[in-house]
Amino acid sequence: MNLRRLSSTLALLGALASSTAAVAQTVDVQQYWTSASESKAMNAIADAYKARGGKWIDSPSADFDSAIAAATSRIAGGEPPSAVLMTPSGAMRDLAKAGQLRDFNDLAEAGGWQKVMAPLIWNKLNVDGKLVGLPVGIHADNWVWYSKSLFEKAGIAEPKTMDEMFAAADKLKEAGHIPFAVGGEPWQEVSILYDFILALGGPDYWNELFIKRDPEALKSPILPKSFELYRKVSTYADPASPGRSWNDTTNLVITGKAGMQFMGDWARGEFLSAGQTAGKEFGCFLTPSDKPAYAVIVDIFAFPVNTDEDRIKGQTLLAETVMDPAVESKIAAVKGSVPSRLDVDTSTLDACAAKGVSMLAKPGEAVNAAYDALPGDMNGQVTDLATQFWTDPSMTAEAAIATLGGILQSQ
Amino acid sequence: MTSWINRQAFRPDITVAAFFAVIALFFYGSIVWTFVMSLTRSTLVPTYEIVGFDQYVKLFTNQRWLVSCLNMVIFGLLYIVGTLAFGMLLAVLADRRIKAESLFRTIFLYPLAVSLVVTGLSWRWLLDPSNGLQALMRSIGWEAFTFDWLTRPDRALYTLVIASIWHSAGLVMVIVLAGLRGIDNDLWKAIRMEGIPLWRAYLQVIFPGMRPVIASCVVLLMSEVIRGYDLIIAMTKGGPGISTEMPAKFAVDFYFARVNLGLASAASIMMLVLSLVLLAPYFYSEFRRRT
Repeated sequence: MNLRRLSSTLALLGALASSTAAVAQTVDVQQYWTSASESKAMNAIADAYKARGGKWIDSPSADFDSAIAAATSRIAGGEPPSAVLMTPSGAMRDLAKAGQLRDFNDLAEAGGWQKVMAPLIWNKLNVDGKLVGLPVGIHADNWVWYSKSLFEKAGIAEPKTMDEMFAAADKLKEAGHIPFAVGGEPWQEVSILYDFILALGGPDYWNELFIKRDPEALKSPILPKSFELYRKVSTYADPASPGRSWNDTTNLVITGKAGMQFMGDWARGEFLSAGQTAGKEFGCFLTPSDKPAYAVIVDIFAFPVNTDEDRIKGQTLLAETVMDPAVESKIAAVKGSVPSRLDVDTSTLDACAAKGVSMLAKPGEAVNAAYDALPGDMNGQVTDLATQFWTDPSMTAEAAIATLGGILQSQ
Repeated sequence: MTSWINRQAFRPDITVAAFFAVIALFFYGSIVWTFVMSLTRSTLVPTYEIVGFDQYVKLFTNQRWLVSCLNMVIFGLLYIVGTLAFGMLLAVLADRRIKAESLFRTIFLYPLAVSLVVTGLSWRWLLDPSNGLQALMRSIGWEAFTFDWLTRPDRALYTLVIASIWHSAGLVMVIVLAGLRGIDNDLWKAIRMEGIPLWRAYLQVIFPGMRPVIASCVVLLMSEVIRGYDLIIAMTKGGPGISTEMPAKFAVDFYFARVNLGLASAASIMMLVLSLVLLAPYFYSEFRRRT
């Protein structure tokens, strides 16, 4: 009796499962957009996707690393997610080279996608002539965000040079505020180091050091100077900094407890979702430099190869959704990114985003941020080095540069 | 029906053989596979092209790995000694026929029922200088009170020790208490007749006689040390900097987030070697006593 009831229940469940599978196009999205602005952006995608008749399964992780970890272990275990939110990094190239990612050459050709993307972006997304990632939005790493009200109270103008920036920090400190809000997580620390290397060296030096990985570039006086400034920033950090997440840190600037924060322009999304406006409550500038540069980070969806017909259709539908100009501009509006399609109307974007759009358009100023530029786990190793240098004042710049050289020359 | 079952000769050899086959395949098989992987340059996807011990060279020139190993040794020593001392003290106190013994036993054993992630998070909040214990003490008027170990690179490791001792002391207490209850009453009578002070009785007579019990505790605690991962993730995420990194976290990070299968496998094999080295003296002494 019991057995019969069990089997009939199972049959019913099976029928339900197969009937839902037959109508819906399903995507299982491995993602890590969990802060206020990020989840708004993800919901914008999910809503547009559901409006087209798809079924959305959300698989969120707490941060980038754990999302990648979950995705790779799912792929290795034969239960791949249908889309992974990531960056066009070494991991994406490894996955693509192993034939684990679906390519969208057919859709790209039909949609004329190459023409609507900046060449730097298009090249990042192609591995061996196959388009393996679709851009969700373009960010840049080398921004500094500041509280307008604190700057006005202390009588500081927006810094134009490195010296002015540190002078501003000193004034803020005197006034009893946190000058630089830093979240003491390794990835946040290393991006400050990258900011200084890029600001002092400019795009050409950056490409030599991180793209070509020329050993000569390691001898440049730019590196010791960068480490010195990086160490200097660490002396301004508040005691509660270690382990603080980036959005909690941005919140210190939003609430007027801290003056400035080095952070990619996803921070803009946090200001916006707190109801603030660029140029009014908060301001932004790129790390001051006489050789302007823009360290581009692209958020992408990569689509691991799935075999189930329903999930393949779901991937196609999600690809079309993500590449829809209307969806792209919606994401940019809530998350702080710049749309990855050049044909999206940017006239409605705020002052900071407009600055980003103009930087992207200038040839030679946009460079690949280290996340995407460095192959394999090199960026991770530089991150380990940077966080060690940050927390251990006895480590000299010379020792750090020697280690950096070893990392960059290891492949 | 029952007589039919009884007529079938029970074949323990077959049962055991199947069990060992499963163990061999999934346990030792995985170890062998991990070892093979550690000899390759596999990143995300396994490749089977052997390149020798490159990954081990990389591993032992990696500052983070070296710090991880050193941390594990420091953490392990303090944690094992601290937990044993605290747990044995609790057991002795419980053994003195106190009132409401079972209530205290439950209270002290309770942390063990709390997962390590919850343990880590609670202790992180408690020790966070800006809104934990330090802030509380300052808010009630003790302005000079400072306890910011969690955010100090040279002290953060000790906060992990504190949290783990809190978590495991109850376990040691229960095991040792069980051992104490097994002590022959005649021994106690002899101790009383000789007039030996209580502390000496425990330290020099009772505990030395409980070596196997204490050794089991050490082995249990050591396994906690070697696979230490969740507590660190919840409490410090390896920071500040790399000051609280541990080998297990290194391996997991490199397996998944950094997708470097080769290096992570080398790290795992070294963890296995490390645990064998640490456990060898114990196995050796046990073996020698038996022969």
